[in-house]
Amino acid sequence: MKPPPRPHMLSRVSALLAAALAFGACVTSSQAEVSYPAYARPILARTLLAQNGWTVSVSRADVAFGPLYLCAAQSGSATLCETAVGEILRVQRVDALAGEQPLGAVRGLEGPIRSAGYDMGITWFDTQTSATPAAAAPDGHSVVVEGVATRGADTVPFRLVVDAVPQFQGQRAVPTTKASGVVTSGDARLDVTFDVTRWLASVDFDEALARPERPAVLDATSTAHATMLVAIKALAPPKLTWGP
Amino acid sequence: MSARTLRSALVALALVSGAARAGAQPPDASTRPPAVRTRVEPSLPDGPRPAGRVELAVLVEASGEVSEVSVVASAGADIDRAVVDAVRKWVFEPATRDGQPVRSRIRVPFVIAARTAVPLAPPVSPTRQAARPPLAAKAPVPAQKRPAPPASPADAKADADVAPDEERESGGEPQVEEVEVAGVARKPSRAASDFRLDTSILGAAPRANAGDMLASAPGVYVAKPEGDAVAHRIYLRGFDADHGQDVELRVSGIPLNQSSHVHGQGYADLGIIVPEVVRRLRVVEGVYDPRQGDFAVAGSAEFDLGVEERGLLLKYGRGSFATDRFLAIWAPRGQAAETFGAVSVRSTDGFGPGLRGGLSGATNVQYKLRLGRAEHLLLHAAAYGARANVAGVLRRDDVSAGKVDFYSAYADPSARAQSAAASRVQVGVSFERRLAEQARVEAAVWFAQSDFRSRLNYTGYTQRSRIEPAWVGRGDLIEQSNADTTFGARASYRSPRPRILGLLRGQLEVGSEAKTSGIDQAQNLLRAPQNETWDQRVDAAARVTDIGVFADGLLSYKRLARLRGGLRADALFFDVDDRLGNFIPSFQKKTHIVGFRRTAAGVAWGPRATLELEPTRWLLGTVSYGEGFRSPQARQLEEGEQAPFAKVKSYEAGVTVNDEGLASGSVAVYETRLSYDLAFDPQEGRLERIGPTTRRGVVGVLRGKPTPFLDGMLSATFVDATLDSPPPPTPENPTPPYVSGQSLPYVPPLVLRQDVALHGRVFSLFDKDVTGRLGWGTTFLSPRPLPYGQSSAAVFLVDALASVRRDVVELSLEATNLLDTRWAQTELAYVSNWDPTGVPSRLPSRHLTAGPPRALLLSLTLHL
Repeated sequence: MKPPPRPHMLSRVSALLAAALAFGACVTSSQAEVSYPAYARPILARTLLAQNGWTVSVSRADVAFGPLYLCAAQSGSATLCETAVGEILRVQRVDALAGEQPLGAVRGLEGPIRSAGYDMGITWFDTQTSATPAAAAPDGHSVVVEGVATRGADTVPFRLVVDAVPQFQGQRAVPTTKASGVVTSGDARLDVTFDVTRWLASVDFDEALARPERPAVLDATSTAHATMLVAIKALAPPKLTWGP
Repeated sequence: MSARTLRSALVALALVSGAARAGAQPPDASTRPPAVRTRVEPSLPDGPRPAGRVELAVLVEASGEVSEVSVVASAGADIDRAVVDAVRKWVFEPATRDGQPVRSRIRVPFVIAARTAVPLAPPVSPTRQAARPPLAAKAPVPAQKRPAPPASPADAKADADVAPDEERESGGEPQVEEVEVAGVARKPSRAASDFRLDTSILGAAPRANAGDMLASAPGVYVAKPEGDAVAHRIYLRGFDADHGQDVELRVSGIPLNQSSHVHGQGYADLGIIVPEVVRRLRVVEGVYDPRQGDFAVAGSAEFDLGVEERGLLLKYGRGSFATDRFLAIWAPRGQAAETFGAVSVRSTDGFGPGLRGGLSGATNVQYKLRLGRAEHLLLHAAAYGARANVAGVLRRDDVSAGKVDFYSAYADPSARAQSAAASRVQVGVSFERRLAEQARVEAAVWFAQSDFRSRLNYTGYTQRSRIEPAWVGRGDLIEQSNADTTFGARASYRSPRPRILGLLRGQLEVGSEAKTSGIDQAQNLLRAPQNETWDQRVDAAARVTDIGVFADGLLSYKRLARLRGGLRADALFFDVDDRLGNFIPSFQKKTHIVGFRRTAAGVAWGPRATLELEPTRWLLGTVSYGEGFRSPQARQLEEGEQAPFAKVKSYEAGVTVNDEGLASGSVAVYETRLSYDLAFDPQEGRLERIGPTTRRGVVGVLRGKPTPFLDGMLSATFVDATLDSPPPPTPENPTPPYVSGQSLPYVPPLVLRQDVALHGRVFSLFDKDVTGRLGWGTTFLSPRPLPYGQSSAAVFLVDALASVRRDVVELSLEATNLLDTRWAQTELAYVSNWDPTGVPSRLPSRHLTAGPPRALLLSLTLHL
């Protein structure tokens, strides 16, 4: 005998379906995306003391910075940090004689940052056949400093250019440098300090004095270039600090 | 119509309906015979005629329509023709088995009076013998004593007027001499989430391929993001089953999953199935049946092939994006539904600006050879080939910025060089012999040969050559190739079902299944358009052998309780020739010859059990438990390693209510725990381990057939799928994309699906009925979590079809994505660089593969 319909059973099934629907949007996820501003904070006295008693008066100091990749790994190299937790993709020209200035926005994820890798206006990406200066790089260089070096009666106007070139294709100019910060929200801010005073203080301008042309041009063939590069990369690299 | 004819019609109707009611208590309670719903009177030739008798063999389709009528006993050509023409217009309530409509064959005798014709016998119930599956036996049925039909006085008068002599001849009882109810054995249910989808639901919405049929199963979402020549990606109840890693797929008993496929473990391409010959799809969500083998982690799906409507079918369709599809099915009359041949060919330019063009073809051939009353052979052969271009992934930020159109591809030689091609040939022979008391012997052997080659770029320009590290930035076009040759066999014996201790009945089935695969595979990086190989990632050969045994028992107590279950054990053996093993980086001194050959083995075993409690005929409670496994990728094994199978434990409890086929519903709660899961790694273009995972959820299903012309199914599946313990941070990857407790990526927590089919007579045209079909399927996916805290958008899709048929001609219009929703088939989050001239981002970014926009297909079908 055919049993009578039991609509109440079906309505219970429907009620359970509705309950399931109510939970449909509940998901748990990992790191959230953030975006926060970055600022350049150059340190440069207009007159400073360099090696061998040279006093330097600076009339122009431009620094190219970027792109910047922030990594959670202890090393920010391309091979050890394939996935970044933050980045600034633009190349920004920083006027080291000016005050604080924006570097752009950091896009990334919440979480700890332990290292960084960056270029200084000259890139050699995977898809570039050679190292290439960015449009924003001052005169196609990483750093350009112009001024006058004075020691006693010797006065030498100079133009010092530095090219921070990646060592090989796919590498950053500064493959990895220590950084320490924890980003928990988009309220963060990144300050990048460029101690240009310490960079110039490492240069001996005797080399400039010996050069015939005026202003003396200290380029990639010069000792000053190498000295400055060591200062930029190792002695006083750009310092990254995170704050509210 | 004359008064006499009207009276005779009333008598016939009374006979038919009365007898149908009388026959509604068939010997097999799960089977119900067909009954006449719409009857048309024969228009007999004018003039005097002698009394006579016409007997017709009538084939009633599962839809209730009459598809075949043949004359068994003749009363003359003119009268035969008139009666046959009339019966062809009859519409039946189809025979049913377990509440599901099935095809049936009946005999209808007519008594020819002096000036009219009256059907003597209506369809009655099938006998137990005739209904016994899966033989679809044609058995003579003795005349059955049944109560006289309830007749009004008018009926009685008419009865006396029309056919008194014949009724006396037959003892005053309608007589039916043959009834056949076609069908195959319904395998016992193993869980509340053991779903059987028939052609009514499978045919409700357009199905471009057999993989799309899976979408009607609760909790299933299927996509084809890598084009027509790459297998579906399947998401089932919280599992990202990729191309089959977590779903065991079979067609006519032959496994489709391929061991250690380079594109994904368990890769299974359903393109080999011609969708029109799928008559039933069983989807078991969970692992509860001892017959479920390797890759049955989320569950299993089995496609049963058969053609109910016999004859020759020719179909040609032309649709959007220059799509052409030709289909031919030949189902010789008089043969079993399993006997047919089908071929389909499809070509398309694909949506978007000509980036998804493809050509595919498949053929399925089966022949059921009866060896006796209880034995048969089933010969199966199928072949498939496809090649298609692939548009590939797009960064969502590039789409938003207008750098690339949603339906286009990057204007880049590497992106434009993507394609895939696949082929498969399989043959199989199965034997079945039914013994007394439901005992049975089965055996089968099969062979399959598959080839796969793809060139896909997921990441743009990020890779560095491992062979020559100075080579970098040449495009991450990953070429994968996989050639697989597999032999398999299975055999089983099911015992009779004797009584045990009086009230209990018991049964035991033991079986074995074995297969061995020879695999040759490679993965390289190509530089487009030069097609130069600039890195080698995989170059290996492997042999994988799986020997499985199972025992499955049944203990039942009347109709009230059934306990099914047993044990399955699989021993797997791996022999790997990794020709790039022990790789020597270019910066290291060469100390050995590259290559690493190794063997490994392991045993996976798991108990499975299902307890069914059926306190009433309409209420069924089910509790199920089972343990399943997924074999490892051979190349990832070390020498002598105990093969680390991924083990799954499934738990489910559910309740099913069934209102005699008019409506049914079920709700089940479940949990599955997987020892380690895999997720797609776009940098390698393959699956990588992501640790153990847990899924807890609830699934609800409503199935209704309130009228013969309306059928519908609605399901909702919610799952909370979480990562329990993903790989810990490493110096190389201190912030991995997965953290403990996070939602499993790519898996929609909520899946809703609705299928509705309407069919019936629309009107008459030139003395022929015009029947119509209208159906649609809707899918809703909630936002899918992605790695790195991102999530995809929700998706709502509607597919619909409409058709009209008059006699042998049918015109149909199919629409997929009817609302023209702009949607992403898949979304992933990872690092890529698709701008070779720009500054590359190394942040994980959302990538999508565009879903097809609205597409129409207009088809003309001839049913000959």
